Amino acid sequence: MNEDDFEQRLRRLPRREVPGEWREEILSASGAPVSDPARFQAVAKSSTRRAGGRRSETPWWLAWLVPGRAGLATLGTAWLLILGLHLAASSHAASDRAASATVAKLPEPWLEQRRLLAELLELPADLAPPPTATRPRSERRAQPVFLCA
Amino acid sequence: MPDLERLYDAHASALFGFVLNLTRDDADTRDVLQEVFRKLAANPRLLERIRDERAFLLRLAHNAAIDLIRRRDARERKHESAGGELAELFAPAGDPDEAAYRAAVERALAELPPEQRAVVHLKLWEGLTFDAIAELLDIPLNTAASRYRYGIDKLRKRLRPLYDELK
Repeated sequence: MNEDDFEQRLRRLPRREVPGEWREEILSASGAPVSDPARFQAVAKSSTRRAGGRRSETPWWLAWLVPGRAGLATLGTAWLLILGLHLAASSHAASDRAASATVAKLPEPWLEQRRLLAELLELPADLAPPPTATRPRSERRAQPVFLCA
Repeated sequence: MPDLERLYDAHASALFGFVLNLTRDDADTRDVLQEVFRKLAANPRLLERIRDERAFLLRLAHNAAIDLIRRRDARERKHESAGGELAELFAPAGDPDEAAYRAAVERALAELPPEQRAVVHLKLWEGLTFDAIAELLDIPLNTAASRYRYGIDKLRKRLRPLYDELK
């Protein structure tokens, strides 16, 4: 009698399957909700041999989102970042608008000053020299005057 | 709570075969399986950091089965009751010769001491290495190998006439 043959024949003997009604009895007694008793029949046939590692039937994106605190935290951080960038951009645009409005107002007093200067010099308004920018008294210096005979 | 349904579907057949080979009684086997799953439900973190679920569950089942066998043997000695019929391990065979061979294997396995039977079962029908068997049963590697050798030799001696006839 060959040793390997004997052992292989023993190994090939078909074993009894676990009775189907035990599934509900055992799981109910353990306090687990029993959802689909028919599921066992299909799985049991395909996994009579070793089935070591855990297998998850959850889609990867759901597994990433739902139970993962890290996933939720990343999503929340990204959302806050986007909100912050949006607020910063809108406040910058508002200040730009205010600045351009100030610039638009500047020519009016400048034109008024030019008109007054032209009246004093009795010149047409478009020939009057542009008014010098007013500066604080402390910054004013006496301009050298060169008189030509 | 761990996914008990998934665990049951993936491992119940293996646990059933192993425990039935140890207890040789359907009701005792169901009690042991129930004990294993009750333990899993009561300790949701029991399977955390477990590399091999199957080996861990077989270990739980083995411990529960040995406890139950000890209690049962003590009870039977107390009441001096005769042993009942042994539960069948293998699927029924249509061919009479094959059926006789399976019945002979069942009887021969029942005559092995439980510790040899456990090693023979894990090696033959779970395909575990002696390393894995030693770890699962918490015994030295050499002990696992020698228990298998003694067990297989006894089975071979017991089944030789029938095996040669069928061959």
